[in-house]
Amino acid sequence: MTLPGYLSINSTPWAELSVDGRVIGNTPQLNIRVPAGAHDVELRRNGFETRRTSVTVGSGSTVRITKIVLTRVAP
Amino acid sequence: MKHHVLAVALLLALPVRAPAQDAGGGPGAVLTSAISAYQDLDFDRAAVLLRRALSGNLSDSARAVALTYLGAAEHYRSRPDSAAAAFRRLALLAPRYEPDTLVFPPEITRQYNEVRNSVAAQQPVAPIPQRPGNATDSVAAPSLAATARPKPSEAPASSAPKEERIIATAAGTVANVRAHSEPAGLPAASGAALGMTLSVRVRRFELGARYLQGSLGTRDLVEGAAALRFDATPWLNVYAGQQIRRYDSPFGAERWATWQLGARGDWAISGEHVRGHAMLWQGFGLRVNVPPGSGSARGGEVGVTVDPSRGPFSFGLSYGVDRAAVSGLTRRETVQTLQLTAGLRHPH
Repeated sequence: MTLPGYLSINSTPWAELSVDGRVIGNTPQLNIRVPAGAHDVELRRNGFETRRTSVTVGSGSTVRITKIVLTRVAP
Repeated sequence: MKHHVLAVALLLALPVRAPAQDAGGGPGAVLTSAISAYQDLDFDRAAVLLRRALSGNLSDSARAVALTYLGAAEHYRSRPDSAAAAFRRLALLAPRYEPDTLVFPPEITRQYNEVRNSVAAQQPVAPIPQRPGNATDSVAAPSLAATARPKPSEAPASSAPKEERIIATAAGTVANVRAHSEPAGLPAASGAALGMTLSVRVRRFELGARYLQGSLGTRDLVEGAAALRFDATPWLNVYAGQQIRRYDSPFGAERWATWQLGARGDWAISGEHVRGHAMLWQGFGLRVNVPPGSGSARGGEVGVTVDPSRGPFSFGLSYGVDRAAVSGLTRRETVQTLQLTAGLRHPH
């Protein structure tokens, strides 16, 4: 049996967080329950470049990403 | 006496709650650490550090930032009542303040606006002009200056910037003093004494003076001390000063004078408003006039202080014990002091 994992994510500035295409809510987000394995994380906010990254979460572990900085869209 | 010194030493050795011990420096540095903890999603630590910063001397603009982060941290700790309390303090402090919408998502700013509206409906408050940042602000996160800086239109043209850099404190003291001499055969003496304490704090330095006078039955006591303290960390200060103690008895006047070097630790017992402290000092250059001699001295104190929220008053209870020994063990003097203190602080 595989235990789920958890994702905790923050960004500067705050942004809308999606995991595997599902909108979770605005950052910061703590302990999002996800199946163990690889997941696509997307941070989106108007006026800033969308940030996408892939995260692998181990069974029963928590991955914490807090240093994401979104850059402004060039005018 | 050994038992008393041992008790004080053990109290100092206890793993006291010093939430900001890894966030050295003044309130501004603690605030910076708190914001860092918040950004790292360590909301528990952020809340502790923010309360620590708020108990210090922050400018109104830095205080507004700290309260915003505190409200948000409490929100994410699932403590809506605490979040509302922080936002309420913020609304009372700076009704026109707007949290940084880059940092705080709509669920936070919405909650703050709801609290602010309810405060405005219940208790109209005249806007408090925000102050330009001072040195303690400059070490906080960049968002601090960007968000807390007053808009030019908000500040009355006639209002000169005010700084809360000097804090004066005056306190009255009622003490029970017990003095014991050995082996000279003097009887133990005890009685009540009254006194006062004055201090002036400028940033991390504090200059204090203390005076105590009373009758111990067989002899009268007059004691004075002055010391310069430095906040080495938010929870530990070190100090140096001089203490002079004079006894008047039928045999004449005795004077004991010593230089002191000491350290004092403070920690929160309950929230921001009930704090404990423990202090140890070592005396140097003890001089006694009758019989003439020199020696050493040391002592300590433990106590608790109640500091009601944002009020000017504070109340303290402390127990101290010190021992002075003249070289050659011709004379040892042990003094225990239990004292109640009521203080007034300005500005609070």
